[in-house]
Amino acid sequence: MQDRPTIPEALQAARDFLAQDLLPTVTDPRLRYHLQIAVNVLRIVEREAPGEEERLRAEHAALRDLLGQPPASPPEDAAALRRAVLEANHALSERIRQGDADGGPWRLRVLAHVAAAVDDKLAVNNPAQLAAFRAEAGAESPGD
Amino acid sequence: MSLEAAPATAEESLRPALEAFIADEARHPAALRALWRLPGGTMREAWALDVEIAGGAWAGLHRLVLLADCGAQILYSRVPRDDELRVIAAMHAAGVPAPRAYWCIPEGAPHGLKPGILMERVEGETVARRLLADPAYAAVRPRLLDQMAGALARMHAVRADTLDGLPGPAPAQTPIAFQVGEVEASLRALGEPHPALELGLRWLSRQMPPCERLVVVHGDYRLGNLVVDPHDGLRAVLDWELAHLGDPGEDVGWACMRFWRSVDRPGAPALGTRQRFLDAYAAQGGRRFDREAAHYWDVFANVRWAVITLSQAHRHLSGRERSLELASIGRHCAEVEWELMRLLRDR
Repeated sequence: MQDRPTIPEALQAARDFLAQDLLPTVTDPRLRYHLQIAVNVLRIVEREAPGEEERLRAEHAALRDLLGQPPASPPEDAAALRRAVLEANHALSERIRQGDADGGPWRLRVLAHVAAAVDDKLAVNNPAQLAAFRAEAGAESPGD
Repeated sequence: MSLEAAPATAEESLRPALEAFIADEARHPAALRALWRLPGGTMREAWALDVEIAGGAWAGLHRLVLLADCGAQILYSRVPRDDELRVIAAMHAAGVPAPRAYWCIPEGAPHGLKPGILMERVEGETVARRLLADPAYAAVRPRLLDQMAGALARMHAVRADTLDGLPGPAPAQTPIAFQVGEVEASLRALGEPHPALELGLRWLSRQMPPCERLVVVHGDYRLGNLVVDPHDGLRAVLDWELAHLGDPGEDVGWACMRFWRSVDRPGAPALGTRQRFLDAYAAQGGRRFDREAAHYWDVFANVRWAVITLSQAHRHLSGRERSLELASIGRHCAEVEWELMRLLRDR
């Protein structure tokens, strides 16, 4: 086990320095813009790091189930786990391209799985946008 | 785009090279009165310049923009810059609000200039956020959506066969098949699995509506590529480098796509409703897009934008262009996929 700060703690310290100490001193608009992007990228990784392996294991299990593969314990090694999820997503993509998800009950399962996977990605990348989407989905849509 | 601001030396070496190039083109001495770097743009670097030409047909002061290539390639075979200049000139001549085209700087220009194009600098605001919120644009805001639709209808009325050389469908291919195929090819080039985008592409290829007419598609028609004057409203359409031939629905769907914030969303009022845009487009000579057709091109726009976000990240990841901004765009894919999955629900 590594000594503290943990990954999110170290990232937050770096982010706070950039946002609170450095940003107010920068006047060049281009540099300010890129500094704000850097701060946001660190914020994303802070949200992503905790629980990343659990999320990958859950995605691995869900993909195997969707692809009709028997349950199997996911790879222990983090890199092998990532590879396994990537391969399963390749297999799902190929099935979609072949038309297996064009209709019927499997289409509904695929739509539900992919929507949930996209939810998980967006919760890490931009939780405010996810909240806005959900609020909008609950409202009427006069714009459409 | 790199983190560093353009060094002063870039400007110092650009100045004499530009003067020499313009003097050659105008066949009269040219003197730069001003030269400065413009912000923004991940595709090309932009410079503003004022140049005084001493005689001949071009005599006088010209306010120009230089768009210099930085080797970017995002989606589609980007049109060669001389073709881009021809499109801009044709649109300008047809009464579409486009800048006046000046000169194309070819590969290996004798003055050490990067390849690029020179065109009229149209003054005004291009930042969508300000156009939507700044009180200075309150007077033109109510008619901006109609102007956007009208300019697009005029653009789509330009005869496509007068502009050969643009990317477009093969002889036996429908325009929409070409357009969907371009997006699909860009995704395939990345070699990554994206089930949401596969669902989108599969749906697009199975639901293709009939295409009535091949037109010149702008390829990036959105609020952020318009120049708006506080009194006159829409003055110019910029960024023609993704122009191609195809079904006009691509520009219509792109213009109304949620992430460009031009049309109203629940809780996010903007310039007006999508229906108003579609009505204004049809009233000013464009095709009538019904709800189903508009939905098709909304799906298309989101799949295309999602693929572009991934492609932008790959420009960084490939090592060709190290850029935090490009890298970070890759993480925008999730929000586009979310919108796509919403559009595909119950379909």
